[in-house]
Amino acid sequence: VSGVDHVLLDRHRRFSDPAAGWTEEFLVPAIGGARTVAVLTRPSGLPRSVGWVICHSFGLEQLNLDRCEVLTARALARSGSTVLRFHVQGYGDSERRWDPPTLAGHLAGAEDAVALLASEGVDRIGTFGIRLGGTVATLVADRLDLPLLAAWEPFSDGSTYLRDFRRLHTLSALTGGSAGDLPDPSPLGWTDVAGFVLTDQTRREIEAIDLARDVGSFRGEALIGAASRGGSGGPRAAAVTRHLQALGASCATEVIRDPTGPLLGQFHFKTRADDPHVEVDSQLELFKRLAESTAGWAAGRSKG
Amino acid sequence: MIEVPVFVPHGREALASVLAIPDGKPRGCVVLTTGVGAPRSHRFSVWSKTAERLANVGIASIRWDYLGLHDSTGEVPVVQWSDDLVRQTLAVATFAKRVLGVDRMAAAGNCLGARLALRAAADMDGSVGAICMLPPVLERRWFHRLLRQLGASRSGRGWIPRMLRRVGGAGSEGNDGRHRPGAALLRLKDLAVRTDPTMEGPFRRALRTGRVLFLFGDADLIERGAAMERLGRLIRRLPPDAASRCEVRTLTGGTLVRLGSVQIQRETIDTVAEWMDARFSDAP
Repeated sequence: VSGVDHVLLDRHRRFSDPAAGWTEEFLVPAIGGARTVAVLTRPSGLPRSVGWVICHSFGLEQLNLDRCEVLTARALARSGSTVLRFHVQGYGDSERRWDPPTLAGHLAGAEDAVALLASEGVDRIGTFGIRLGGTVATLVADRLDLPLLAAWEPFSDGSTYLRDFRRLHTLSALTGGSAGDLPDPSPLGWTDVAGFVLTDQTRREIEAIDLARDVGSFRGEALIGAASRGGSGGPRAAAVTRHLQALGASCATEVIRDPTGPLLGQFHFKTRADDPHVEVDSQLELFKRLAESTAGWAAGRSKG
Repeated sequence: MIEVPVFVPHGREALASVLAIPDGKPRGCVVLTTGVGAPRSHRFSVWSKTAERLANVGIASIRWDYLGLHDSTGEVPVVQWSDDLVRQTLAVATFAKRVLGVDRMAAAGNCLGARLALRAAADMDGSVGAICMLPPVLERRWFHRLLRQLGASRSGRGWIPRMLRRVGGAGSEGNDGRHRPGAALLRLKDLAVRTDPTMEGPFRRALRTGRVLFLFGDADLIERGAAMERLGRLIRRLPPDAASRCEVRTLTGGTLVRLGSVQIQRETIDTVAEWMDARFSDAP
């Protein structure tokens, strides 16, 4: 483009924070059939042979969990891993931003991202995700026969997720969105769920998820995490753990006790009662603990 | 159009940003800012879609993440209005201007981003204007905070709401089934707030060289009625030529809070793209 200082642009694609122990680089790769924006986080020191692809969650959870995912990517890099995070087509800065996101797009995007990370010279690649992102990470780790998986609060079946999705978006509707009803089939083939376009096709794709049936060969090492108020793991993470163990996978479990644990995936900024001009991140501590916990577990997996 | 993600330097940290550059020489550049909790692309990609629409009419844009949030670096325990937020916005604008070699700039934002867009329009060289969606117009007075704190206390939980209802009158039920407070309570609420004193200066400065559009959703008329009323008072105090460069518009399709419907998102994108197109078509 004429008149644009491309040298200056190129110089600012990377940011290095040696004190924090990581370096980040923006990429614009083709993932899921079109261009998107991705961030590659590398350790400042000598990288280990392990890499991670972050599979973001679905709908509004993509942005409600992104701070947690960024913290996790940087914590993993600090402990020696190379990490790739990206926007699935239909989200954020992706080229097909006008198209409603699909589950197939999440899966295809994660598979392409694994191939991209492999081209960076990483030998052992794992997938990481939270909630439906954890489910996608599990499906992709199985499909691609990956050696590593880290999934927090994954859903073993899609219909349970959709019930939760509806509840989350109905809560959002209370603060200004449209109603959370999901008629099937909807008159237009899609439903406006508090501003999110959920197509009938995507809903059916998600409803059809059954990890007990869809994941049949994963025998790698997995971290299955949960966050709860009381410190118990909860049935969802337990169901995924049981299934992976039955397949022969080596599963570690981690539970973070946090009062906001059940709200993972929801909008987490709260206005401070005594000062309406101050917004507090009510889940920052949970995010930090989840990131450190994942990185601590992953550090032990680097030998292979 | 090409889009280039960059880390814009800000002190020792970096603000994750995406420059959307149209084919050919850009007519100008718009700084797109969000409210707290939304990344640079905004909820439901509203800013990245807007960026594409702007590029289609030859206007560049830069959308960015606040320091310590999303892909930006740094640590921020809380997000609150500060001079540093203004410096962040201006750092992004200056970077875009330098990279693109453009003279004319504009800004758009919602909530906290609306306040920053106004400041940017006031302080950027070559500013042609700002769009402020759901601007935080009001500042609460000390007795608003006192009532709030009393209301939150255990002893105040029961009697304060009861007293306010008694003082405020019975109120009425609106067409939407929501309760409207009585006239006296509305008056009390009006006295408990004032127009944010930090708003008027930048507002007047922004209008010296450009135009300002305030946007609300039709469902915001009740919740934000007091803010809109104060905004009206502020505009009426302006000299006629400045007031003529200012507009308050209501979009149909619900509330702009969290862009909670597909229709309000479409209206927002259309409005921002068309208004900016007109601004960069105005004679310099």
